[in-house]
Amino acid sequence: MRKMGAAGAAIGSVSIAGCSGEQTTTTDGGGDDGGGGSGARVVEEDLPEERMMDDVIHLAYTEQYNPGRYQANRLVDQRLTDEMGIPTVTDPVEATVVSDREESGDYDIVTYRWSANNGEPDSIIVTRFASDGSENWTGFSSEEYDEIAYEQRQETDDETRQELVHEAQDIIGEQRPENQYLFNEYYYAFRSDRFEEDSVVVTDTGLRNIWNYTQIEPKNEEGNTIITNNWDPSDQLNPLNANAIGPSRNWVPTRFMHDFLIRTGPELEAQPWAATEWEWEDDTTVTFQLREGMTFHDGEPVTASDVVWTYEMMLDLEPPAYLNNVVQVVDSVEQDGDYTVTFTLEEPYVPFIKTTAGIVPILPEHYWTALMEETGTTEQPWQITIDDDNPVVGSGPFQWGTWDQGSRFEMPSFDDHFMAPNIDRRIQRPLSTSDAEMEALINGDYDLLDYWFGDTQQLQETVEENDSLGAIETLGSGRQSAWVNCQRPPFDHVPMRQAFNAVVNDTQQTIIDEAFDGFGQEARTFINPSLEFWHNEDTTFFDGGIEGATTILADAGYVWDEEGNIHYPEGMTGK
Amino acid sequence: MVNKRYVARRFALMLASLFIVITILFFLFRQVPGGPMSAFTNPRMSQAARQAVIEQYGLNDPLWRQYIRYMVNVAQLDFGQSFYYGSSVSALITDRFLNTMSLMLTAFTISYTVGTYLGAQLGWLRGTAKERVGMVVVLFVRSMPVFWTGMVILYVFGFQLDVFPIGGMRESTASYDTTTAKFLSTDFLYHLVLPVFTLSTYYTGLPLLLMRNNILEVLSESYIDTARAKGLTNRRVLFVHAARTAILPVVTAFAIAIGFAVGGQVLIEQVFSWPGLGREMVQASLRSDYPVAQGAFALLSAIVITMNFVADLAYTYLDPRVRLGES
Repeated sequence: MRKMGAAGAAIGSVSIAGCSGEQTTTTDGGGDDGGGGSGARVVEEDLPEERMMDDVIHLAYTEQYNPGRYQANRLVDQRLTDEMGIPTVTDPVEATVVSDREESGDYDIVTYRWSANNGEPDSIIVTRFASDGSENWTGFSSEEYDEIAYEQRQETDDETRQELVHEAQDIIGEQRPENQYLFNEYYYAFRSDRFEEDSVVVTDTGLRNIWNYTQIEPKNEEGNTIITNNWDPSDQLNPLNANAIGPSRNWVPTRFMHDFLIRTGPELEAQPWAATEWEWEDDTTVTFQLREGMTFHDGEPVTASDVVWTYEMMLDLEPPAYLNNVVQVVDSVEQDGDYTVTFTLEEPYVPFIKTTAGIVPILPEHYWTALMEETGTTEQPWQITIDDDNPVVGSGPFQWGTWDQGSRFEMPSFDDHFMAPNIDRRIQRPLSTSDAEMEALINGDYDLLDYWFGDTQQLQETVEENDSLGAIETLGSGRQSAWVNCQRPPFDHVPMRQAFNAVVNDTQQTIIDEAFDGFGQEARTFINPSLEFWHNEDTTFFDGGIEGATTILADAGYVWDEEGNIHYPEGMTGK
Repeated sequence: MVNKRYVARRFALMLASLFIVITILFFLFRQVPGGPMSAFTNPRMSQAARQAVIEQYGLNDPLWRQYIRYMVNVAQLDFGQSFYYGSSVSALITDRFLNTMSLMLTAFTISYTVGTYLGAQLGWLRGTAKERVGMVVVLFVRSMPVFWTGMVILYVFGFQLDVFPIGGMRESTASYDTTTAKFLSTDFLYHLVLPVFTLSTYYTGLPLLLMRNNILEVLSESYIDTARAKGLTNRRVLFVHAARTAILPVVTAFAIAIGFAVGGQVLIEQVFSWPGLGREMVQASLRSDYPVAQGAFALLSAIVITMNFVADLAYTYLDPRVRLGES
């Protein structure tokens, strides 16, 4: 017995959409819970073997790596398998294996957390979803999308650009290569008996941001030295090395010791820093006015020639870390007097302000040329070992103190800085378990926790019980998402992705409450609401839960056998 | 006594074993899924940047060429650069090695001294109520997982009583100019107390039981009867006559233990946030930081192999009846 709707599905899903709902109603798909709630399911007998869906591989980090994310994955996979008849297998592997397999396309679903680089939406819009994006591992490809994606990065008018960014989110929302689990919220604890609570600044990166470390006001002697965790110990502090600007264990101290033309402010807006102002002269020319009177930690003045030297050295030697945002973007850089620098770009690139000027440290020419000469590393200065013998000399609010790699890194504050910190120094010192970290905060060994990877509820209870502790909550800038492999079945078929989205959306609240202890918000798009200007709250998404997902699939011609296993529409097969 | 030809032959064999171990390590680590580049997560590197780094480390060369290059460097005692730290593997391993050895050697010295002494005593007291109680205590302590003991000790003395630091090797605000100053400071000794106490409690069991069993055997020998017949004190019979013979297997155990000490006690290093070689080895393996992982495991094997040899040599001095290399 063959049901009507399914027979016609191959002709065109649109025409079938109207009638399949009424004509193919059946509920006894998979026995006990298999068919529950799937009123739209089309059940057929004697389906050919090759149309049966193979296991869907959900590539995941291990439970130990991130318990919340792992539980969320299990929830989603179970619903897909039990309620949708889509055989989904959670495949947890070590962190180093995830990215390898993702890049080689050896997965169907992969889940992790990702955020916009420095609050700049371009880092997601082009890099992740444009056909030739350097981090487009889903293999998503759409001409319409590519056009908008490249247009937004050239649009100097903010309002027009905002519209384009919203449109890009909507296309991705409709096509669903990415399906958000949640926008994470974080909880950060500090010693309220040592700092003025009003002076604590939290940003999307938590307490480990320069605004907090320069503005936090100590109440007493103990607050003058901030001792913090910093998760893993720093391991690479050469600002030219790719590893120094990636992971935050290195990026945080590197950012604290250097100055940048601009910095991203607490609201993720571009704020004047070493440059007091900047101006686009035309699509490809931008001029920065440097602040006067700045000095490096060794007392030498910071001038336009240091900025020019830094960029020209990068254009010349091409450090891997700065290929994307300098080498491929900047055509030339020139100085006009001691305090004016003009960049000419290869092509219009609006994100330049945040992703280049906000990320490239201003290096002292005199120090680096000498260092490269002494170490004989004139071709690949990112290979120079930076340590107590060859420390960082920058001009940032903190300077190099002593580094006992693996145990501690001390940075005294730089009193001559225009944003000189109120504290005397910052010491990062790792402890290897979160219990020890919490204990260290309670007994006063730590002044604040830069990171907290332990149980958030437990931390919250501890803070509430303890008079000398305070806390601050914040919405991060990223999202936990499941990306699907658009290059192979089953997710090379758009309805399958939309159905997956409906299941994920229906599970979001449970994920937030159960797996993340309520620390999170429902998420429908890849740009976090903390990037308020760019976030599109009306992004298309799919709802209706299992029922909705089943309707989408039935409309597209998917059918189920009597055991409740899903089968591809006629004419389609699996991997 | 020791035959020189024998020593030379053993030495050659040692080098051969090391060569095999290093070769196996080289290929083993490269069989593990994942690669060194994937350690650069969040935000991950772009394809172009990744390619540039891969070329810089020579990871795009055929495996056999990488192998030859590695072996030539190792022969010159150059273990290369860490992918993760970007610094010299030898310097990194030396640093972690000192941290680990300061912890493990202290603990082993205490355990083997105390264990040997108590073992001899318990052997002598055989059949008494004291011995039975002693054995129960030893077995009880020996059966507790060391990381668990560590956590309990940390909880009581670090968290609750707050008399000892909760981790690390020194005060957060302390800095020292030289390595010697670092290891000789009272600050360091203060941080050493809890982990060493945990470890020595655990490791005392082995030499103690070993010593006790050997003493029991030796006590039935006729030369012990002779010693008693001469009218020597119990103490003299036990420590001068019996213990000298009974201590031989303990010496072997000690030598081998020192070999393995290099690997550290990963769990204890974790519990007490000790920046030792054991944790580094585990991390390096997970990060696919081949040079560090290979270097650390090569060091570990070299020391185990050497210590075995040293134990054999030590025998010939402790027991004049043992002759090596004579057929």
